[in-house]
Amino acid sequence: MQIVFEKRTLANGLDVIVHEDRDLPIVAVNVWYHVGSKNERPGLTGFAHLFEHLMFEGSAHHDHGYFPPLQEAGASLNGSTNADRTNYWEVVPVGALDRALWMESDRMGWLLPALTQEKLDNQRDVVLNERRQNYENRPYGLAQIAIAHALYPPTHSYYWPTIGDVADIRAATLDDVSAFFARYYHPANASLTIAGDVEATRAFELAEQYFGAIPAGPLVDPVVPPPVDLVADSRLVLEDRVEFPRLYLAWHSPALFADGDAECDLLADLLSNGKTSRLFRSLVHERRIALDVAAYQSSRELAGMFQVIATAAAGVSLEALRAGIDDGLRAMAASGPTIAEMTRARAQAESGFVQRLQTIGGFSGKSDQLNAYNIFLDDPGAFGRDLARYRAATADGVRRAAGSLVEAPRVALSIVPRGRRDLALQGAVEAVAS
Amino acid sequence: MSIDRSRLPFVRDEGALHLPRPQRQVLDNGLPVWTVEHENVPMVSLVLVTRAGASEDPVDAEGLAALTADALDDGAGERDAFALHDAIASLGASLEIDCGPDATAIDITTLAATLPEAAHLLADVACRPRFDANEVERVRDLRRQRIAQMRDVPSAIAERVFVETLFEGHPYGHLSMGRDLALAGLGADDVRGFHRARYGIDRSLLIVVGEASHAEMRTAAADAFGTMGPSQEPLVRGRIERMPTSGLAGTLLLIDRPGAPQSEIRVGRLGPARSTPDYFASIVMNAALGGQFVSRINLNLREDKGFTYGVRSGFDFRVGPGAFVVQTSVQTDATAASVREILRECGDIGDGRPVTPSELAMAQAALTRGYPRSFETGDQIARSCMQAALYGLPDDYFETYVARVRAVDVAAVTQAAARWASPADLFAVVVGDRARVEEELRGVMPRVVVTQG
Repeated sequence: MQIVFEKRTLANGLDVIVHEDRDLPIVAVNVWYHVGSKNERPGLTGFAHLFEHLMFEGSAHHDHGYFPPLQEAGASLNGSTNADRTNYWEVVPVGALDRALWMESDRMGWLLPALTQEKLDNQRDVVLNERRQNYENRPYGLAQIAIAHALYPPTHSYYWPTIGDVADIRAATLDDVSAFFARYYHPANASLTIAGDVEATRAFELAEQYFGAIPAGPLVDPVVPPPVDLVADSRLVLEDRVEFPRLYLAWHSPALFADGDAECDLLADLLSNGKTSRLFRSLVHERRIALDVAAYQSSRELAGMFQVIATAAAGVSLEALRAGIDDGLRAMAASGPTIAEMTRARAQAESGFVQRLQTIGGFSGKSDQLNAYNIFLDDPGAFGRDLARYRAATADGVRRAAGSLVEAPRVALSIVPRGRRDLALQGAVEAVAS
Repeated sequence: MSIDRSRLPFVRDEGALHLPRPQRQVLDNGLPVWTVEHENVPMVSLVLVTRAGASEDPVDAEGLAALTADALDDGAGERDAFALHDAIASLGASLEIDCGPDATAIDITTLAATLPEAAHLLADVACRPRFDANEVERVRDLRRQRIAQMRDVPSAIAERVFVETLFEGHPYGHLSMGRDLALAGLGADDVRGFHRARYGIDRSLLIVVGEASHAEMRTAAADAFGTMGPSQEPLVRGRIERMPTSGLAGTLLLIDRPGAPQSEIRVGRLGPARSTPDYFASIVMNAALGGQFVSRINLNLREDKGFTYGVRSGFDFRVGPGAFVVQTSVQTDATAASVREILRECGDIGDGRPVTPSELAMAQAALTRGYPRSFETGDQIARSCMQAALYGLPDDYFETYVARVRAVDVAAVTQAAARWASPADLFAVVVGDRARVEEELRGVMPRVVVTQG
């Protein structure tokens, strides 16, 4: 399996990747900036994400909002920010490719002249509402913030959430925001992929025409995180407006593409993906002590995090859930997965890769993957290399991944109904989640 | 060559779109099968659509259709639940079951090389579920607890109250997941009975889309589904087509959520059935009013006032009457102002401030130029086919879509807005901090009723 592509780097440092797919008369434009909340500093958090919002508010030569000309062209478009990167994409009919590139290049090269206090104030309000909707007014919504605060020291970039602290979002000034743009939003810190119904030669010409004149900015130094070291288990509790208590177990784990990362993915799959997975089968199906269970390996550039999350069925204690999860982990650490389990997990991984080849654009389509591999591995074609990690993983590797979870200290967060702190794991102390 | 940044590049309408042409056939036993050859990645999607959705729930058994759908894959044919899912996962396939108001869809997506095996597994799930008492009760108990969990989720509360109020006394008057009390009384016998009565060839259609030939897909379908029989209860026509009598125009239902930082809002009314003659005028109207980022309501509430992360309007089209709804979540201190602005925008577009020619062009272009994107993956194509079948759309529907959207004019949009979005006909649901929002809301709508939800 492979995505056929061509990559060139413009004089200003912009990586341009082109992939032809002539099935439908549509083209995907996808831009990654190698900046996320990991590049922020304490007291100035939430900038990368707030900035993503401002990128849709107009640029010097088109200062009336980013959406109208593209929606008029039949485009689908969006952007997203996480700890490691920010991406922006459009999928347009082939006749609107010029317009999409014009718009993307204008905001890469000429955003600041159009940035005003009024826009900043408006999008600050929108972001605060995004935070209320997705964190504060959502059951269990503060869990991931509490876990990150417990897992990382306050100086570590993964300590704060990408959405940012409310106080920091409120305090952001036009100067702060402008400085952020100048430092991170320029061709040498970006990667552009054009994928779809366009000849490669023409795509490269267009990229040069639209983006070639934008000056390169300063190179961005890699973020060097302080060491992470959870010396002992940490038991935390949060009260929330929920009916059923939920337990979160979180560990440090291998970073993105590091040794052991793929094994952790397969382990997570075997623990909780589908009805035959071990924890689902034992906790939800057979013993009926959990309403749901999820395990996942969240690997990022600087560090990884492995989590197991389970919601207690009515009348079941979180202690019973913890014991059930630990039994499952210990069994996996002792004898590893069966041959049939490994075959199944690899088949699932493989078809997951194929499924992601179905679309040219959007989140996780081909253009997004080419940029991801280019930004993280400096190799847009790492698709096969990535898949090979899963093909090469062994049962013993997965067993060892489980073993390291059994051994290592972890964060155990109990989320309990208001006024029912007695339902938390024993010895849990109030979590910090603001 | 330097770029002219004084104006935007024109959009050229170019590139030919090959729309999917389902080959429609009927197996010897009478099961209709649509196949679509689609080359993209070596995968195939099979979807069995059956008219056994939540509107088929018997009175006092709300949730039975979804419970049945949910238990289909807990053991079927020769395999118990674990062996069945092991078989699916080992193919690299994935199975999804979705129970909507009008139909239940069972969808298996697999690598093209394993099409015959996947078809057999799908047939087992659809036609030969075991429904062991133990499994059915387990699924039922999980769903009851899920219902309890949903009471903590503001958007789920608003959604439930909106649907239950709008369609009260109608087969659409409950969410698919049902009601706790009704579920409490259901067991394996009910599920088996529901399945026998409704999962038959006369209520079903099989759609196969992917990288395989029509012949291969038809053979796989015939081998797997050739023995599927009729349902015991034929579909009763006209049952869901009748209009519920919702007398709630002008009423705002307020559900207290003390201390909530945001209010969850629904504003809407009964909407047209999918077969409505003004379907195209309605979707163009919606695109201008609230269906997109650049629509009036979002530009107003988000981009002008910053009250919300986003607001959308939309039609929920069904076989029978549907709904028109504006939905959003806004900061608590902007609750009344938001409802007022939503009502104002809904009124303006049908009376006083009709769409401008450029708004109309924008809405039409977004719908027509964006159309090719709906046919990229096998799943998307299967979904389009499913709707075409469920709603009885004409054979040339995909081909004529663009022309019919373009034919909508300002007068038709204004008329659709006056018909479906007129403020006097709207009712609202707000889930929020009563102490902070009630008084102001009383100045916005004629009646405010505080309920438990």
